[in-house]
Formats: sequence, C-alpha cells, structure tokens
Amino acid sequence: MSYDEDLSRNPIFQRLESKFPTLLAEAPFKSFLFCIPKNAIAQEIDIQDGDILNYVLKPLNSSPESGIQSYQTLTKKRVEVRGRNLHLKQGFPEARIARILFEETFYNIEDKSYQVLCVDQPFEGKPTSQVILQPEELLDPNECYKFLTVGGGQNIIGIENYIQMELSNFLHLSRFRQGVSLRHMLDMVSAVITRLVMICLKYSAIHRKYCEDKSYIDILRLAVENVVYFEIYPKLFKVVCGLVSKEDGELNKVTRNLAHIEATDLEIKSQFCFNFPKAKRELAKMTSLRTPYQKLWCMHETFQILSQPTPHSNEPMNADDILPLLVLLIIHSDIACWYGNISFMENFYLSPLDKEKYKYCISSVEAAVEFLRSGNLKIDRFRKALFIQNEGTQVTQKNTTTECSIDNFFELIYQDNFSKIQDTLDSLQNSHLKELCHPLCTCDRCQTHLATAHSHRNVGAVTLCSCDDWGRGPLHIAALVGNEKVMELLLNYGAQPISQDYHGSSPLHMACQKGHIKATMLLVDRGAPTNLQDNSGNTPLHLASLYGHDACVKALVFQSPARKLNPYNEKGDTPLHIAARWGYEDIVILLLESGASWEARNKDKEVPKDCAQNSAIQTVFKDYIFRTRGADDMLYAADYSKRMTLPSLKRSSTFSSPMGFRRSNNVFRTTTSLQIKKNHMIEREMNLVFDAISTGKENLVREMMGWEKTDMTCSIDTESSCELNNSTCNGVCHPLCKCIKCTAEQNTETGLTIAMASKSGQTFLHMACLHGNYSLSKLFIIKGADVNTRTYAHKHTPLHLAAQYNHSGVVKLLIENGAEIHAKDVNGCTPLHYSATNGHTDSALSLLDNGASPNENDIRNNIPLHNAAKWGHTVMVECLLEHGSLVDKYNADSLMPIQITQSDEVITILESYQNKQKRVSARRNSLIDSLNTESDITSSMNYIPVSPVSVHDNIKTVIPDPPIEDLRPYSKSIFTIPQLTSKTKVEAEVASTYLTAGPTTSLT
Amino acid sequence: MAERLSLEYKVVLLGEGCVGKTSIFLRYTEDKFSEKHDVTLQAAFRTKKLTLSGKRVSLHIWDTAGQEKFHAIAPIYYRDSRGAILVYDITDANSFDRVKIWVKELRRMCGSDLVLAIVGNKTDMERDRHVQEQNAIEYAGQVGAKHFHCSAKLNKGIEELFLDLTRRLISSQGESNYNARSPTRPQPSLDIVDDTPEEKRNSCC
Ligand SMILES: Nc1nc2c(ncn2[C@@H]2O[C@H](COP(=O)(O)OP(=O)(O)O)[C@@H](O)[C@H]2O)c(=O)[nH]1
Ligand SMILES: [Mg+2]
Repeated sequence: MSYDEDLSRNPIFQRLESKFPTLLAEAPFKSFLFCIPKNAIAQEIDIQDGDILNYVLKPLNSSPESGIQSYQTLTKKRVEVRGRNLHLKQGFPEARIARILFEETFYNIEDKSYQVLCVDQPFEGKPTSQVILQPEELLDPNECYKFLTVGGGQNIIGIENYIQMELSNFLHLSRFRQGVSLRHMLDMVSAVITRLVMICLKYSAIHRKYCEDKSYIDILRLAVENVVYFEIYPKLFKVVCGLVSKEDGELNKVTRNLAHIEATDLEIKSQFCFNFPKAKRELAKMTSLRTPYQKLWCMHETFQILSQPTPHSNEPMNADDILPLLVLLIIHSDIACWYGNISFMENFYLSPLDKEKYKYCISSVEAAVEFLRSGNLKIDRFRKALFIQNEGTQVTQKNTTTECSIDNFFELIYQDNFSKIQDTLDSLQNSHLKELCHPLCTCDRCQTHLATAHSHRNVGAVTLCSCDDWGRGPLHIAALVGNEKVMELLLNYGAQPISQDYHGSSPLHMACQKGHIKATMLLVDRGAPTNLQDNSGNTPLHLASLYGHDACVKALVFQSPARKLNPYNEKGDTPLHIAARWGYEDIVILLLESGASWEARNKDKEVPKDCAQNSAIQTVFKDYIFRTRGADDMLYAADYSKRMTLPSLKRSSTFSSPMGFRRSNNVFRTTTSLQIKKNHMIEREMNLVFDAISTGKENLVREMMGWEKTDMTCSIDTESSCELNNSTCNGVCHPLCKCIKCTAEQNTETGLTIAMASKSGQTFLHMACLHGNYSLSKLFIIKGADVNTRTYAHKHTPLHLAAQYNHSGVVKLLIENGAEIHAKDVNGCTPLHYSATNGHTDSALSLLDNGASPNENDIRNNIPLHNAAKWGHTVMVECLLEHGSLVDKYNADSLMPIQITQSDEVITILESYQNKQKRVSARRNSLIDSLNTESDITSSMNYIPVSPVSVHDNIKTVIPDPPIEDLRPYSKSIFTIPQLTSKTKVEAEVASTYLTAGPTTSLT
Repeated sequence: MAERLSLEYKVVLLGEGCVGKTSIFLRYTEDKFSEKHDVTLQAAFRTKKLTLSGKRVSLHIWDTAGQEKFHAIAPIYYRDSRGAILVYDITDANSFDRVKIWVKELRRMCGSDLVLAIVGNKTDMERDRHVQEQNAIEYAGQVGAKHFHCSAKLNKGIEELFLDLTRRLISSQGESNYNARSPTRPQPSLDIVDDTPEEKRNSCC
C-alpha cells in the first residue's frame, strides 16, 4: 500500500486516455481492468499503441474456490491473479510475475466506475531491474545504513561514519531533558533528519536514483529517520515519556489492580484467545525497540497475530473484537509507559509511508489505554472467586448444618452484615469462655478445645482461626473487602492480624493491595507486622507501592523507621524500585522523603532510578540525590578516591597547594604582621617538604627539617621504636610536649616542627603515609609525630591514608606505634572501610591481622563488607568474610551488603556464605525449638500457630544479635590485640580499653 | 513529501451495535486483490483510492466498535475525521434514536464542517421497517446531513453513498488539513452527554 502515484501523469495511462477513449467509456460495462506499469517504468519503456491492449484485462469465468482469478488481455493473452501478484501466462513471450502496487477506482462523467491497477513490471519487453525496497526491510538500522551506503547503486564509503558523527554532534548540542516541550523536541529531531536527508541527496548516486524515481525519497527519508532515532532514542524517549508521566502513573495503577483479569471478563470470544500468548510475546519486544517505525511495526504485527485464523474458527475479526483484546493485552503487558510509547509513535513517526494504517493502530491502542485509565473496567474478582468457591464447598458440605459455615460467615462479612457477625461471634465466645486459658487465647490447646467443642454440635461452625481453602481467615476477608468496622470487631474478638494465607499474605497485605486506607491504618494501629513477606517476598509496603495506593504507603511509612523502608522481594526490588518502575511519582517522593534508600540494587543490579521509565521520575531522583549528596559518604569516598589516583605529582599538589598556614599547637596563634610574614615563609617551606616527601627524597626532608644526618643511620636501623623514642628525643620532655622549652627545642634552625599541619590539617606523617614511604613514616614517628593526628575537615588519621593507598607496611608500622586501629573519620569510617572501598587486600589484611574488627559501623551503619560489596571487590569480600565479617548486617538504609553490589561474583560469594550460615542456624533453631516446646506454651503470649516465617521471627527475639557463630572471630580479635601490640605502654593501654569497652565501641 | 498526490479524507462509520457498519465497510472496501496476511487492519481500516472529475481522492475508512461500553472512547476514533457515516437499522427504532445522539455529539466535538451521511441499512427487510422513511429524511435535512438507504446484504446503495459523500467532501472545503499534525492534541473529553439544548440543532441547518 505504501507506493502511490498520480496515474493521470503516467505516460501509458495518458496514452490510453488520448488514444482509446472508447475503451475507457466501455470499461464500466465490460468490467475492463487496466494494468499500468508504474511511472518510473512507463517513462523508460517504448510501447506501440497496439501493445497497450496487452495491459487491458477482461475477466474470464473463474473458479473462486481456488483463490485464483483468471483474466484475458484484449490481445487474448492469459493472466492469473493470486493475492497481490499477476501471473502472466499463455500468450506472453515469457512467464512473469508482476506485483500490484495499488488499486484505484475511476469514475467517468456518468458516475460509472472501472478499476485500474498500478503494477511494478512491464508485461512485455525487458523486465525492470528496479526493485522497490519495501519499507519493512528498513526495520533493522543496520539495513538502513546498508541502504544508505549501497542503495544508490554505488558504494558510498564513509556515509555511516559521517551520519554518526553528525548525530553525536547533535546529541552533544541539544539537550533533551525534563521540561522541554514536545514541539521543541519534534522540531529539533525533524531538523536533523531534514539536514541528513539533504546531505544524502548531495551524493550523486543517491541524487540520480531520486531523479529516476521520485518515490525514492520516501524510502530514503525513512532510512534516515530510523538511523537517527536509533542513535538518539536513549536520550529522547524517557523525556517524551516524562511529558505524560502522570497519565502513565494513573494507567499503571489501574492495570496493576486489574492484573488478574481474564478474557471472559471482557467478553472476548474464546477463538480469539488462541493467539493471545503469541501476541503478548510480540508486544513484549516493544520496550527494547528504538525507532517509532519499529514500534509501530511491532504493534502492527501484534494486531496481525491476534487475528490469525485459529484451529477452532476462522471467523474474521472486526472492530468490535480488537478493542477488548487490546485492553487485555495492555493489562498483561509489562510495559510501564504506554502513554509515552503512544506519544512517541504518534508524534515522532515522520515518514508518510503507511501513515494512515499506523494511525489506526495507534488510535486503537490509545482507545484501549484511555478506556482503562478512565476506570470503566471494574471486575469484582473476589466476588467471583467467593461465589465459585461456595458452589464447590456446598457439594461437600451438603449434609452438615451450614448456618455457621465458614463460607456463610465470609458471605456475612462480604455483605457487611454487622449485627449478624456480632451475634455469631458472641455465641461463639460465650459458650466456651470458661474452658479457655483466656478469652482471647489462641494457643493450640484452646484452639483444639474450641474446635472439638464445636464438632460435637456443628462441624461447620467457625472460629476466628478458621480459614477457607486458600488459608484466608475472617480478618483476611474483611481486609480484602475493606470493611474496617467488621475488622475492628474481629480484632476485638481476638482475631490475629499476623496470620498468613497460602500465598503468605497477611490481612495487611490485602488491605494494602486493595488500597483500603482505613483498614490499613486500623491493622497497623493494632500491631499488624509491617514487615511480613508473602511468598513472592513482598511486604505490605511493596504491594501498596505496586498497586499505587499512596495513602496506604503513607500510613505504612508513618509507622516505620527509615531503616525498615528497604525490604526486598524475590526480585530484589525494594518498594522504591517498584514505585519508580510504574511511575508513581507521589509514592517515589514519599518513600525518598521518608528515608528509603536510592542506592539499593535489585537482582538486575538496578538502583531505583534505573527502573524509572521516564524523565519525570528520574528528575525526582536526581533532585533528591543532589539535595542529600553532601550527607552521603559513599559518594564522597568514590569521588575522593578517583581524584586521588591521579599521577603522583598532581596528587601531591592537590594536597599541598591550598596551603594557608597554621600550627596544630597554639604557640603562634597571636598573629602580628611579622607573624603573618613568618607564616607565609613556613607555608612555603612546608610545601617544599611535602613535595620532597611525595617524591621520596628523604635526605632533602631531613635537611629541611633540620635533622642531623647522624640521626638517620641510627633511626632507620634500630628495631624498636620505643628505644628510638628515648634516644632521639632527649632534649624534649615528651615527644608531643608543647611547653615553651620543647617547642623551642623542636623549632631549631628552620621554623618547621614535626607537629605542624597544613591548613587542612595534613601533617608530614599524613603525607608520608599517603605515599607509603615506610622509612620517612618511621622517621617522623621517631621524631615524635602524633600517629593519631587528624585532618581538620575529614578527620583522617595517617592510618586512614595508609590503608586507603594500600601501604600495608606503613599500616603495620602505625599500628605498632599506637595508631587507633578503629579511628573513625568524619563519616565514621575506619581505616578498614577505606581498604574495603578501594579493594586493597594487603592493607586490609595488615589491619585485620593486627586486630581490626571487620564489623565496625560508619555513621550510616555500613560495615567494611558493605563497601567492598558495593565496589565489587571480590577478594576483599572473601577476605572480610574469612575474618568474621557479618554477612547480613543492615546499614542505615536497612540494606545488606548483598543488596548494594553490582557484581555477580560478589553475590555468589555472599549467597554461598549466607547459605552456609543458614544451615548452621537452622540446626541451632531446631535445638531452640525443642527447648521452647518443653517450656510452658500457654504462658507464651505471642505463640503463633502456623507460618514458618513467623516462627522464625519469634526465634529472632529469643536469640540476641549477632548470632553465636559470629562471635568466634570477634573473640579472636579481642584476645589477639594485646598479644601483638603490647610492645609499648601506650598500646597496652589501648588494648585494655578495648577489653573493657568491647569491640563495638569506638575509641574516639 | 514533495507533492501531495491526492486529497485525503478520513471517514468513520458510527452507529449502534449490529446495525451493519462492518458489513457496509467490508462491502465497499471489498478488494479482490488483497493479500491474506494483512487481515486485521483490513478488518477495521482500509484506504480506498478514487479518481472522480479529474481529482484523486484517498478515503481512509475506519470501522468502529459498537459496544456501548466503548462509547466513551469514540472521540479517539472520530477525531480528525472529515466525514462520518451514521448507520441505523430500519427495523430498529432504537438504532435511529442512537443516530440522533451521535449527531449531537459529533456536531459538538467536530463542528459543522464535518460531512454527515445518515444511512438506513437492511432495506432488504423493508417489511419489518420500524423507522419512518419520511421522518428519517426530514431529520437528516434538519441537521445538515444527507440521508441514504442501503442494503449491505444485497450490495445496494453503498457505492452511491460513498460516491456522494466523496463529492461533498471535495466541495465542502477542498483539501483536508487533517494531516497537519499537532503534537499537543487535546485529550478527548470523555463525558459526553446527550443533553444539548434543542436549538443547537437548528444552528446546523
Ligand atoms: N438482512 C440484512 N442483514 C444485514 C445487513 N447488513 C448487516 N446485516 C446483518 O446484521 C448483523 C450485524 O452486522 P454487522 O455488520 O456486524 O453490524 P455492526 O455491529 O454495526 O458492525 C450481521 O448478522 C449481518 O449479517 C443487511 O443489509 N441486511
Ligand atoms: Mg462491527
């Protein structure tokens, strides 16, 4: 259908009109059919007037069942029509197939009509070599490039590179971002397409082709268009979606809530369902397609598949059938940005080829989407399920009295028959009150008691713990229906909000899924656990986020501390992932503001922002992250380490350049003009020393510090730093002494002292440790440098820097000389955190072997394992685990290390380690279980009857964190510290502090 | 495109379910040279190329779903239409009332430029007629539409109906401009009620 031309300008048709007017006049009565070769061919071939009669067909009596219609030309040659092809048969010099390009009806002055076919081949003479490229062949962008390169019949080298260069320039210059109007984007895109088409036409091969056949430009344009969209799609599409994010959010809410709908609910004829799964698969490709043409084609294919004849019937499909099928497809598709896709297809498909056909496709999809969003489709699945179930159970219970059967009771709840429910509950309670441990008791004994008591009279009688075939109790049903008054009643009569059905759903799950806000608030208020997971790992918060119920999310979030906002389900998704994916902007904002983590990674290693389908949601994340960036240490650490790994010369200058000057002691605090001048000089000198340290020029350092060369020999070679201390610092009361005498002593010759620090608090020792210069570090320590001195802003000790740059020898040296092994910087990070972040196993081992605990928290409760996992350092992860790191430690965002990693290897390691632990703890749990059952059950208030999850929960309260086996490495570290470090007095003190304060307390 | 090859008009078929819209649609666009694989779209959307009085015309004909529950989304189908064919069943008086509602809605949403044809289908069942011919023709005159009778079953009157519609489309305003794209097209309003005051009808004559 895509080829079109004005036949009145076709030379063959013009000849027909001028030379054979009678033929045309007779045509309506004799059913003549005129075949006209398309213009490009008609121009070329040389036809005698007589030959024109070869192109006029007269129908013969044909056998319609074969699908072949036979014609005869006015020159008595035979032509058969099969589908859209004309087969030239007897009489023609050669058998040939000509394709029908289009069909047109002509009306003469008397309003009588005859048909004209435009064909792609001449019937006689040389067959044309011109093949019309079908637009479908341009679906693949590689084909488009190929077409542009060789389509002109001549190889145009480099056109692909040229186009890509143009496009990368274009992308560089034009900003597609949230807030840009559709018109603006459209103008930008069509401008670049026009420009590229123009450039293509400048190539003579392409230009010649265009001059031969004007319709060539449509194909050319389509090829260029496809190539352009293919390159710019990643930048463009989400912004286009961003413009309709509100509509998409609304639609997703509707479709999520209709997820259980079936074909019969939409009155779809069963024969049309046959092709449904295949159509669904076709439609699923949509998300990965990049050009409007590909997307339109995908829609079109989906339509085709839906309407293919099925084994059961080949009743043709019509407009009445298409819409419900589309509605069902959209509900069951996982596409989260339908409006975005529609807008993209509708506005950005610029080619005129088949436009009308695609318009119809788009309108149909749009109609289906609009139908859904307007909320006209409401199907009470629950009602239906209940009804079907009733039918089933009635068969089995026919003989028993059903006045109080579970189904009848549920029906009462469904009907909101408040007084009758109360009656039932009253009668239930009063009759057995005395025999129970407690009126509300649901312990095993009381329950069996209740059950047996009832069975004497009435098998079908309900208790508050009875459940239906799906394991749902009365409270579940009431929550599903959203009847909060009944729920309150049930709760008052002792119904347990904790019970889970066979899908693992608690009443709170149901209330949240259905969006019953009052029910949700009631349940939360009555202590329903908010962290229960159903069989897919979803918590109520997941469901409220999935089904788009912001009020429920609010209710849940209000009750939960921030660390509880990041539970993850089977797919590793947190509620924030889900809300982002389905475009619920309000929920995303709500979760973020309540402290949900934007860093959690799901099993596809996406953070929530990656799940966002449109730029509107992405912008919400960007803004939030930007606002909170300052507080975020991980990001800082990443930036920091990136900056620090520049070549060494630059590195030193970043450290030494912003150097205003100040001493760490108070001696020069009073500033006079002289002082300022002096400070300036000192600053300069200090910079020189820093440079010398960074380039490892030890002698220069000594010289500038004014230390005798003789010092060098003795200091470097002597083993014990303690002895050195004594021997070299004779004249000073104490290495760190700041009395006037000592300062003067230290300050001899140059103005530099070992305790001096730069404006940012960097001391010489910091610098030596940063560069891993062992001998200089040792020298500075001997000269009395404070090993625990800190930089001002970040509070880094030399040990932090040594660990961060993986200087294991220096690490050991520092620890041996009394460095605080758990020193925390401004973000609460210990040196081990830095080793872990950077994956430096050497320094980490050095720290761990010297007694560092792997389970120190930073201010966001990350332990080093979090950092190692986050940056994907497998060896480091293994190393930390070997040294007793907790594997399931939650950080402030309630994320475990496994949740923030992007590396498969790390996941495997962590999982296998977790499993190993689970086996151990399972053994232990069973032990505790058996202990528990021996103790008095009735006294345990929270005894929970069935679910394995709740049993686990229960145990958790019995066992203190951390689990027993984790204590082993701890105890090791506690006892090894004094042994290893008892060499100095200071260290011994440190070690004893350790022993008394315990491993988790920070020393600072 | 460098040049426009034809006048293009979009025409929708509207009317209650089962009055014969699909039958009329298929009859008119029936095409001996169709390819098997393009079934669906052909089932509800086809383009017909015509040349009359020296003018080339492409009619894009859209069949629509008749179910009542989909009424609210009809604007998506008829937006940008230059012509509308409102079908009723001459044996069903209700279906004719439905046509009146459609007329009001279309006049309100698409203005008076829309070329209307009101079609009484199933003339082969003349004996069961429940819509007075005279009434129908008069009503069509009042609202600026043209009335036709046809039978999809016998293939009577259909060609004439489309030919006349095409003529009126050409003369109504020459070239259509519905191909002009507007990216921010208004959302179709979804609450269409048929409570337009009666005087509105006169304004359309
Ligand atoms: N007798 C008769 N029946 C017709 C005619 N047109 C359609 N029908 C029948 O009316 C029914 C509904 O037709 P259909 O085209 O599906 O109507 P739609 O719902 O408006 O699309 C079908 O059973 C057709 O066979 C007609 O002109 N005469
Ligand atoms: Mg129909």
